[in-house]
Amino acid sequence: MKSNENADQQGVSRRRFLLWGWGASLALLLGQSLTGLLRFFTPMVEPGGFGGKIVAGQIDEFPPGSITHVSKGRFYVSGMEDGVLVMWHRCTHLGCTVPWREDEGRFHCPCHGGIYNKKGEVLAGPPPRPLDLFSAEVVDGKVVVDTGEVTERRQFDPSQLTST
Amino acid sequence: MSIESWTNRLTQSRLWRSYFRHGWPDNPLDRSLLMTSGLFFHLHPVKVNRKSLRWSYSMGLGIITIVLFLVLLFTGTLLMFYYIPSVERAYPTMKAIQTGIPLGQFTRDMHRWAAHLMVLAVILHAARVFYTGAYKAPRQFNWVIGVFLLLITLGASFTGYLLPWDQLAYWAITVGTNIAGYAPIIGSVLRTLLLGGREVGQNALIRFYTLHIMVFPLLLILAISYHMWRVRKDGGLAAQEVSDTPDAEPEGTAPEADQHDDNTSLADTGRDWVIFPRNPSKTYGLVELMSGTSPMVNRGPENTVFSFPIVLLLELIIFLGTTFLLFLFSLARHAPLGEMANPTITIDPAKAPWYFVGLQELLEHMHPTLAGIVIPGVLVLFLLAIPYLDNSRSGAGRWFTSARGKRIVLWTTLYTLVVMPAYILLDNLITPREALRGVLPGYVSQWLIPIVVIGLLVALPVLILRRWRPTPREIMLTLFTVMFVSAVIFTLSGFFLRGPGFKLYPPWNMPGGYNPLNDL
Ligand code: FES
Repeated sequence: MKSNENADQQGVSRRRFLLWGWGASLALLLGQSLTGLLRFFTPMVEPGGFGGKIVAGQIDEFPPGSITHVSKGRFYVSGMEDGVLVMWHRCTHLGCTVPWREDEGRFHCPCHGGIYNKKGEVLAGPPPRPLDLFSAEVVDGKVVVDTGEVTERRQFDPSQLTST
Repeated sequence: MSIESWTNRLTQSRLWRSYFRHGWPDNPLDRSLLMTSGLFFHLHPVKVNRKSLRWSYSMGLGIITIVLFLVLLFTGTLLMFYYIPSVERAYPTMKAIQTGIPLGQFTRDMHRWAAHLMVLAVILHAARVFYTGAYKAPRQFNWVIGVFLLLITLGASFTGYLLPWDQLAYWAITVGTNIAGYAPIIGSVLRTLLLGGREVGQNALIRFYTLHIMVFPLLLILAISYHMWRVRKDGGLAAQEVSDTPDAEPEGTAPEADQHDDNTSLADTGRDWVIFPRNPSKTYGLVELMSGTSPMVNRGPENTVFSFPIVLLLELIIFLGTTFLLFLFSLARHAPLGEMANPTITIDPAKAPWYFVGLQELLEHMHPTLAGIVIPGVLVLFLLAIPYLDNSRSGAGRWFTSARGKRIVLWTTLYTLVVMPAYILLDNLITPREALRGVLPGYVSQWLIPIVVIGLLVALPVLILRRWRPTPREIMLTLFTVMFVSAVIFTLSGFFLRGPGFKLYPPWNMPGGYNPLNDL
């Protein structure tokens, strides 16, 4: 086939069409494989353990002002006047576990000195946002925490509380 | 019987001749053939430049890296015979390796030391290549491969760091992977991919294990082989072989060829001497002539020696020296193993492995996305771009290129040594983040101020240099030196000066008897 014949033709030549067809199919195939690979590496969480629903305890075990650590679920239950706040114990800075310091009356991360109050708000240090939340509901007087879903927040808001 | 007759009998034997296509390598021809016909040997050049063999030139860092990698493959395979990558069993098997298996502790020590030293050797090798200008054309792409090798090495080392499953490992990896979570858009996906969940657990352990024993070693073997082969293809080590004023006449052999009387000259070369003479006494064959330049342009056989046996001998010496050093290190200091990993209790301080502790120091001064993603990303891009920003061929193969280059590096080093520690101390004293909390929005103290300050500190030496009309190479020397020295300073500060709570302390006065060296 001579090139000037090609140029004369209007539209797309057969060769060019096939070339694009091949290219597009190969790209599609590659994309599909990559998506599959990514999905392979994203496991579904098993229920019961961390990542599933966890019973923290009776609602009246968390009176206002109390801080309770539920290590199985990796969270703190902070008792407030109008309900409880369930916060992941993971520092929002770089993921260290934040201990509650009874002597200081606040959360104090040992890694880079991040400090949070009872509502999880940042008082000092490098954490970029308050402690993350788990959603919880009260079923038969028990606090059931869904550790599968993490909610990030910019500040404390009473709507984040769970109550009966 | 003399040695000669023995080698003769050996090289005449059927077995020898079935494998080697040449005789005993004691003459130029067989020495060349040895190098070109063996799979492993052919990663070497046939002949090497004399200057490139000097210790003061290459310091043997590339070979040292390869030796360390071989030691890692060997000791790592040994450890795999006992290690079980499970959250419950990993730590007990580590204990068992150290206490219940003959030479188990020693094997682990060797592996640990070799891993640390390999990262160090790769970094120093990169610095050597940069400062001797060996990234210049035609070696640009091998420099790019080298940057990827650096990244793969870091990955291999970092994934191995988790496997002991002690507190040190657990929290170092937690902090490290959380930095990845700050990558814009893909951050949390990336983190989940790495960990196979939201925290470091069984999925993360087995992922790191597979990456560590399979993916990264395979990548390393491939990339190292390619890197070495490419050194040969690019014309060996850059040891000042391209002189700025060419003194040898590369076409000096042409008149000789003229003497063969034959008229099958190539019509389209337009030359009047014969390139493919038909001559029964001819001992060489040319395949084809094409236009274009090869890495061998401007270089002749002068100043070169056969690789066999000198290069192999040097490699053997480096191999023995490196393993001996490892041996001494392993006897002097055991690899640490802390308490078993406990996700609910964070150790204090929780430090990343030493090669990332510089980043952790940086994290103290700015927003995590800036310190953990943007700055490292920019640095890697800068490294990749160096040979394309400075694309002149001249000045390669000599430390700092010129006397002026040397002075530039010296002054830049001094400048960085003053400026960066001052920045760390001042920023720690004032801490804009806390001073401006609630006064100005977070991005001012966490993004704006650090970008402006660091940007100025990096740009200043280049601006000063402009007065002397620098070459691109000299600008690269300045920028690379600022980067390299800063990396060293931040690493030292993060490693030695940061104590509990990651606060600055004088190293001789760490609270609670904390000794940073214990983390190595
Ligand atoms: S991880 Fe808590 S302050 Fe850095």
